[in-house]
Amino acid sequence: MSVRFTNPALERKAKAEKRLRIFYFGLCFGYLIVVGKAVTLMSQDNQKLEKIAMSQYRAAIQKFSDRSRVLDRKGQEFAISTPTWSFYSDPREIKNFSETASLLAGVLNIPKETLEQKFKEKRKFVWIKRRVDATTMEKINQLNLNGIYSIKENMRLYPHGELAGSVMGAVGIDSQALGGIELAYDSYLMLNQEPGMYLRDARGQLYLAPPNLESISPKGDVYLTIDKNIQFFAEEALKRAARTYSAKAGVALIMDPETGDIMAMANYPSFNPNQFEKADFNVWRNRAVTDLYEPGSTFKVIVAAAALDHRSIKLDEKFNCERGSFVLEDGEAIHDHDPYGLLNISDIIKVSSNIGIYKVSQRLGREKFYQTIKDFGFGSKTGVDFPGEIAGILRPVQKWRPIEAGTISFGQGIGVTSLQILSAFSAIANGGLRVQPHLVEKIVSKNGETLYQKEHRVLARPIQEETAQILTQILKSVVAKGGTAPLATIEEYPVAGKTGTSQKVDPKRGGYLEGKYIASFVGYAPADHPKLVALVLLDEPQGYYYGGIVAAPVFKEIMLKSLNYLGVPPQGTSSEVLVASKQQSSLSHFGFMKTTTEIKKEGNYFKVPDFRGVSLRQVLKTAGDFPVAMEFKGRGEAISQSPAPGTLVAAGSKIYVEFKPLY
Amino acid sequence: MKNWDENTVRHTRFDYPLLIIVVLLSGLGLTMVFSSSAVLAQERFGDGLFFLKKMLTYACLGFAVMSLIMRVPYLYWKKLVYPLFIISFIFMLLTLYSGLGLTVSGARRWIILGPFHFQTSELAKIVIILFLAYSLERKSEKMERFAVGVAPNILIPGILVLMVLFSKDLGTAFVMGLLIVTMLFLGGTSFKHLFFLFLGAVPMFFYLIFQEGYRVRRITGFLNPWADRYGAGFQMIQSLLAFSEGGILGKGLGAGQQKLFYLPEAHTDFIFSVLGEELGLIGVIMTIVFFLLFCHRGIKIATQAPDLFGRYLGLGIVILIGLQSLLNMAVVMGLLPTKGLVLPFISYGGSALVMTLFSVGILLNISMYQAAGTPPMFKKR
Repeated sequence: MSVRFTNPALERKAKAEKRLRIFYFGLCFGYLIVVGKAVTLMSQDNQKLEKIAMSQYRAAIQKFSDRSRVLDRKGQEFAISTPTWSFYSDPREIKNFSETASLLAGVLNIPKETLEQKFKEKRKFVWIKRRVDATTMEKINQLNLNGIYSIKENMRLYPHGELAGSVMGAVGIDSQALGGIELAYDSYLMLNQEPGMYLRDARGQLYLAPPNLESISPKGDVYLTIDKNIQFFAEEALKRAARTYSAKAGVALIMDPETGDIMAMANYPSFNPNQFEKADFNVWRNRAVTDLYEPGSTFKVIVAAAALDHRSIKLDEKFNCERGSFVLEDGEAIHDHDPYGLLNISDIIKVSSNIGIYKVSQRLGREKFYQTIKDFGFGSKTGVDFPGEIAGILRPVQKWRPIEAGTISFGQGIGVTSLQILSAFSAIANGGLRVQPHLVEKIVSKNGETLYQKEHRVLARPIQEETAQILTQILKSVVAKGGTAPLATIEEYPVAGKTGTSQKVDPKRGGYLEGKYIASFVGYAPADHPKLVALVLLDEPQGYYYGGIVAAPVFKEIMLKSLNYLGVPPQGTSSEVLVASKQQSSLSHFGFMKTTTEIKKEGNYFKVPDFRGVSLRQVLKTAGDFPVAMEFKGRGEAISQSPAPGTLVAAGSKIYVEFKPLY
Repeated sequence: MKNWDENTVRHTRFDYPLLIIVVLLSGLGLTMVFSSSAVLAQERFGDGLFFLKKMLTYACLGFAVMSLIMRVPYLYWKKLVYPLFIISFIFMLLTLYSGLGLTVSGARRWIILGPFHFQTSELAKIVIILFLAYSLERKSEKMERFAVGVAPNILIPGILVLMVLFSKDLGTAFVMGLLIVTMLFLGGTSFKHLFFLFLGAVPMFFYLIFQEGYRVRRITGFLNPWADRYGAGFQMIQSLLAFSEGGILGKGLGAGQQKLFYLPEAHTDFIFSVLGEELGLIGVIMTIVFFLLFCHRGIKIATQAPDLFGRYLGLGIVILIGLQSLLNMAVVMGLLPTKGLVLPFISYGGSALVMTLFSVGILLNISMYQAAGTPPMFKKR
């Protein structure tokens, strides 16, 4: 037995000290665990948590995107941005799905079940309805629902609807360009291209914008070369004709031959970019640049141009049109719709004789023909500022079959776009200079700075000016009595043009489709000083299918309205006759034609001649006996001058002419 | 002061370091309350400073109370133990069963006193400490006997704990329970009795949890927050996310994103998460160091007290603040299930701040008296 002394007070004190120490270390240990947890949690990346952070802070919504305007050449708004409201939901905040859904369904015209389905998604951001108008927004806000929020989004609005719709293209719900000018100039139009990475709070409210709302590239309003009124004339007339003849589709184009400004680009069926979702994709496209067709008789003008320019034929030379039927070497026959005997080139074009033009093309030779075709721009894109343009089909001359030069001469075996034909005819109208077609005039930033200005560019000179003038006279005869398109005659303005009627090619089996035609007319007016060149094309007209019957009246209506609208003074048939007879004399002098840079004296003043398209040497020659100071820039052919042709200047004035090498 | 033996008691100045720590913690609290509540306050009251202004008012009131209480010799509280116990009991009764009680989101914890809403459990905590300090001193020599040393010390404070339970405040009841057990442990209760207590408490604890659906969800949300990301686990994950996003240096004061309605109770129970996100690991460790210093200083004051009442009173206050801060931090870091406990000094809450500063006032008064020749803490025998 062990015996020991006891001192309860001392023992209690010792015990208390011991327990206090246990408590103290326990407390420290507790804090240490917390610190340890904090270190592991905070000093290393946790991918699981990081992912959640990303998904919940960042709203990958491309909103706040805005687009600048698209206007016509006169500043009429064709595409604008307008504010709308979009509603979304954070379902977690909705107490009663059914009640909220039925309240919303009443206002938004969405089935209640659809809404309830949306609420059941385990997300904190669900679109309820995007792009509602101000009154609907008011109604929803008045419901004062939990978990339903709205944000402002900008919506593209095309105030003129279908007018020039296929030129505009469209934009999607997140303001992304889907086609047309919207796509071609998207970098200027889209006000923020970066996908909007905005931070948002748990309620989905966005609270921080990234530092650069505006992206780097400059933004501005796009001014088209299109004129709203001319576009309207074109669309109306085209639509009416297409409906009259139950045509499948149609195109009408109007361009200024001198500047290349496309002033109207009409498509049928029309496309309303405001409701692009509802439109069939077939309706979307701008057929003027995306659709291929065989040009038919309009192409005969190209043969005539080449033959005259290369001096392969003489104007008064007659060709035997074989009374309407001619068998080729390989046994194939070509036909005219009426039997003709001996015709000169002018008459061949006037009556549109296949046999005649075939013989002209044989005289011309395939190499020269091919070169002129290329110079007129066929087989390559016009370079118009529109997406999706195609180059057409032009096989290289080396691969032409023996009769191919012949068939191409009346527009078979070659694929072109409407715009290519228009551009070729505008070259004839413009004295032989083919210029770059444009759809956009300029782009102007908000503070008035011009960001882009279209550039006047001469692309080629397929024919000499003399040839162009002769062709104009020939083409005038087409609309005259006895020609294929008397319906295109305008009393107030002389018209030069050509019809085209081509059978459609079967894209699957080759060969031609029975009863399916493309009827077209292309021409310019006033013939001798063309202000506008226009093309009308109708795809598969029913009943009548000749270009001269179906397309020519449309051309006439559009051209007359447009020239009147532009304030071009009517010239009357009398002056036409006068000019024609005057020109007739020069025609007879083909081969030794005088230059047009003749100086005329009117009183004490001198009339400035039209130097454009004339060679530097020629201008110099004229300048010698002209009592004014001349100033030149560049070399090659004159492309612009100041003052304008026809201006009266006093002796001693200065005339400025700019030249540019052609190739 | 007839009880004082002038030979054994030294009268000193109050403990400056403790006051400095308390001022620092309160300042940190005000800052974090502003940062974490501004967006909510702006949205709810149109005034981003709403919660800051209120918290500032409570802080002023709290420090006024503290400077008053620290001038009251702590021995006087002995005489007030039973009156205060009765007042606290009546308050609890009024809270639970009278029109003065205020129910907020299912829990009846507040009593309306004129312009103030007072959380009665905050008073009850202090009363429990006062009672145990008083009782443990009186029975210090009979602690080995269960009926005398243990049973009354559990049953009498147990009345208040039970009433807190009735107000559906399991978190506070849990803290009170731990407080009682820890004080009994420090008061010398035998391990055997403590073990019996534990055996008795476990089934009761489980019963309490399964009694309420939300408590079960809190447990499952704690055990696997990822199982129900948007439900039970949501708050936990958002809290962890805040710490994770904060990293070592933090996002900077005010720059936290979790308080933007992601993190529920950002300015109250989960304010430490916002602190973690904005001030980073450095801020977290700094805060823990402040609390640790507070406890260290408090224990020093308690052990130097000239009598057992002062010792237990001081220790009780340290246990209350230390334990509650530890539990709150453990909860927001996912170490314990969510309880609904505030972080002393830091979280928004008027009653809690005022009563915490009240208890600090008592502690500061204790620090003015030292047993002459008090051995340094933890000195070897």
